[in-house]
Amino acid sequence: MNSRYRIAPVMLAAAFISSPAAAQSATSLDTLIATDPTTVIAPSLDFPHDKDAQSTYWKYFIFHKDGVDFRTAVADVSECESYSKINDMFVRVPELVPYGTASTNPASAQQDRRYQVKSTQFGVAGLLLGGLVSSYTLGPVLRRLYNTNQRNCMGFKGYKPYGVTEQIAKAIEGGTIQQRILIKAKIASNPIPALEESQP
Amino acid sequence: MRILLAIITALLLSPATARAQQFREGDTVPVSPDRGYVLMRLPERSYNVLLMRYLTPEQLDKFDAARRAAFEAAKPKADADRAKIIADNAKGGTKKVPDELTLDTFVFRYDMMANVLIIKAKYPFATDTTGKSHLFGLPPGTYAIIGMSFTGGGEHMNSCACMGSVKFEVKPGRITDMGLVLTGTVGAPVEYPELANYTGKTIVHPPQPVPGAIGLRPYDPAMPRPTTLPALPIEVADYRAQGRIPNFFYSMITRMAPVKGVLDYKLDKIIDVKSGEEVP
Repeated sequence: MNSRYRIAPVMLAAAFISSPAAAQSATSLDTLIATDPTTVIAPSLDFPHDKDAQSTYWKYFIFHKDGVDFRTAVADVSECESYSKINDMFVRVPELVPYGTASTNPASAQQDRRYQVKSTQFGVAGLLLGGLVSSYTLGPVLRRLYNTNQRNCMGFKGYKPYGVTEQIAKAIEGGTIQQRILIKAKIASNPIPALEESQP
Repeated sequence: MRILLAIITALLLSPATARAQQFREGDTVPVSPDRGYVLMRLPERSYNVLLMRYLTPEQLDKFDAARRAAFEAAKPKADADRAKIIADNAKGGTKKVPDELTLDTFVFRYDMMANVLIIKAKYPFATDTTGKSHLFGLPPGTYAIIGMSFTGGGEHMNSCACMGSVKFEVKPGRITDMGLVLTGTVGAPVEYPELANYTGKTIVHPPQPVPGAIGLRPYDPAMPRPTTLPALPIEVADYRAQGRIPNFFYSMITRMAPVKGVLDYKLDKIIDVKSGEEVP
């Protein structure tokens, strides 16, 4: 495993921490990365590029990066999903973030030291925590915040967004988080789609 | 009276008050040899800046132990509640069965320590023609700039510098000069060229939320220092690149703009310029 992958398990674990249906350990990323991409069924990206479709490209999009391989794309998508959990437009600042120097205790040092701080510290916003499994189910504001973090994170990694329809977005995001990551990674690493780049 | 004393004691011992203090204009700064002092400059208009102190291994172990204990205390009731729903559903009930509570999914609040410090832009220690200087006292340790916030009915996140920032050491009995921390708001004129590519360009219809921008100019001798600083040795912050941190805040994310001689990026890889190495 190269250094690129070493970062993401932590992030992936963090991503799953408030998604009980998909609660995972850091090893889940290894499992996802080991997935044979030919077994991942991605929805067709063929659709009429009419005005209706174009009007929602800002909202529904996929990412693609020239030359990226599936394994790297899985790690990248996983990391960005972990950042993209948004609870509220105005989430409160916590007093504690459990981040620090790794423990000298061998048993503890094996654990991820960087837990997510939790909900009640965030007031009402925290109440939404448990329900955030699929970005597709988010309300309009949270959906935009989710998109913002996706654009930023994937953008920093060199991916470009391409507009798709709501139906395609639903097909990508409607399953479990693992399925979503695999499908997004497959699309991101497949030949460049004949789509219009999504201008936010 | 006893109740009042108890409240005062609780406040004095609470994590928020025990860990950091921001001094305001005209304040007398109580100098303590076991505290560090930090001087930060902010532009006239600025978000509040968030600092995080690295927890020590002992503190993390304490946090782990408390979290595990709380989980073990909560687990029996969660299991019983879940079992009851399953049993009720077997008799025709239709309640959603919660997933089994695990340590990974356990929601934990811990009030016994704090390591996030909010530098409030509206409370300068000194103001001059170049901007505002902020002074605060805090426990020594390693600190990272982790994001921006704003005040309004509480303190709210703007964004987390989750994908790259800087860290520095704060030593006891000294003032660490952080230089000028830059923040920029989306849509505002770009006053600082460092932030040009980080202020967002996504003001469109429909409007999209975009994180503010954050950058840094390490101290240089042209930056004035308040004349009212306490008589302590002053050290310039020795910045190093801070690697990724999880989105602890569930907020928008960004990264600090590159800082000459300190922080750079190759796509999303964070480069510590002083060592030339990538930091995870």
